[in-house]
Amino acid sequence: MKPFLKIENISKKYPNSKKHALFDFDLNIFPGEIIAVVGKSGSGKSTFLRCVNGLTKTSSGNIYFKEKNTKSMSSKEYRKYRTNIGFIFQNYNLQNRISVLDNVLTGLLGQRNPLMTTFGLWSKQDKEKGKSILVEMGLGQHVNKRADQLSGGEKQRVSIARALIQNPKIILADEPVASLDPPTAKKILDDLKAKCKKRKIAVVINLHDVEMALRYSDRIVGLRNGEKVWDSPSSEATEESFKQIYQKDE
Amino acid sequence: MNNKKIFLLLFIFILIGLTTNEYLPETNNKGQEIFTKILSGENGLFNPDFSIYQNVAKGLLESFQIALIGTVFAGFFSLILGILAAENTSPKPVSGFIKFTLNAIRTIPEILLAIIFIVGVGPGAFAGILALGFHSTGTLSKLTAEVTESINKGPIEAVLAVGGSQISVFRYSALPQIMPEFVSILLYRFEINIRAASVLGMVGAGGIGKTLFFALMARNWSHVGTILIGIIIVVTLVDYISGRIRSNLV
Repeated sequence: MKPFLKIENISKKYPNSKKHALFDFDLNIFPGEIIAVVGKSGSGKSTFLRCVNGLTKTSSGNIYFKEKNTKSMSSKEYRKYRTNIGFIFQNYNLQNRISVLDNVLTGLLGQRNPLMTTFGLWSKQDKEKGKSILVEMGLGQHVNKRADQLSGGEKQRVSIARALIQNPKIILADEPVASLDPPTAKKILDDLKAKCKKRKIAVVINLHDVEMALRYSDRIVGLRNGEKVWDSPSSEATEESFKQIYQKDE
Repeated sequence: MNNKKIFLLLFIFILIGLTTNEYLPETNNKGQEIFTKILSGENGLFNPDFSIYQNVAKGLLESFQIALIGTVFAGFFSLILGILAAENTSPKPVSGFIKFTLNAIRTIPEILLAIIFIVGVGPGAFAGILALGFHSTGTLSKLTAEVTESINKGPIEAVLAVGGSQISVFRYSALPQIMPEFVSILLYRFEINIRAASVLGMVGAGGIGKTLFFALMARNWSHVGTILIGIIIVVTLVDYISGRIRSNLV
């Protein structure tokens, strides 16, 4: 099998910072696999995910999507590239003042005619699809509620639904359950994994919790001070590997 | 300048103020007599003449209309200018230029603008509308720019991440965040404009101010009293209603 997303030697240095947030990072992502990225806070996990879909610009290195360098894409092509990537944020980033269904539909903004969507005109199929995904996520009774009326766990489910409606090749999840209580967190990760496996969507998920990472991923990547220090199938990860990732800096 | 110096200066100013009686009018009994007559005399403020209610109502209605149209006019332009003046939605030079222009507009008092517009378009309500609209555009745009600058970046990133265009970002993320506060400051501005519109007529820009001006010139205090009661009722009502709407908005 060939990787559909190739990340090649990407580095990121923020202005006003001496250190690299991410340094010379490589990763090949294969269809349908679930990768957990682990590391302490500040190790570059978020920076890595944000570089993949361009929310943060890389300082150097290349990203290839289906063998096409994202750097050579026009802004229109780049937006098209982004429609293949669902992004799940730690703090959900829903549009608070509009309905749950409309929030899910915003997942399609890159794929529909901007003129129609600007006037709030969505096709019947899109609305039906949005509703059915919400039902699938267990939010059937909240379809018409305003997004800010939901609990944290429910909000994150909406944001998963928003990613799923994109029909993406990959979902990037940046600490998706860090603001949730453990039982809710577990349920949401169970769901995320099940829905993505069913649709054969690859997932790259940032987690700081080692047990969760082991439980939900096929492969574990360890980051330390912006550098990759571990990359192996989850079954081969040992206590030693985690020590390496989490050890104190000298 | 440090605090000590400021206090010293203040102290000196107060001392000068206390020792100068140049500005205090000489008191005599005649003044008091006239004052009592104006207030509670047969033709005084506290004996309003309600027979002119039709004239007053007509004037108040015109003032209300001047304020309403002026505010709507300002609202339309300030939504556009405010977003163009915000540093996070517009290029730096554009934002800087618009902010500078708005500041300049804001420093001209409404009454002066009214006089200028009267010269331009002739006396009447239209000059009043232009004066209020122009001045309010200055203040409202600044507030709108501030609201725009304080919006949450997260939901904007969510739209960008799915491949949404700038117009989608504006429609689905920026506008819903700006709108409630914008409507709130627009209503507040309407309250201010109602008060301003009652005075504008005094320079010939239409509304109740004209009636008030003639009553004052004729020293017809009982008419002045009726007009003031009318203004108080309208201003209080508008304040109350718009206050209620505003508290439900955010």
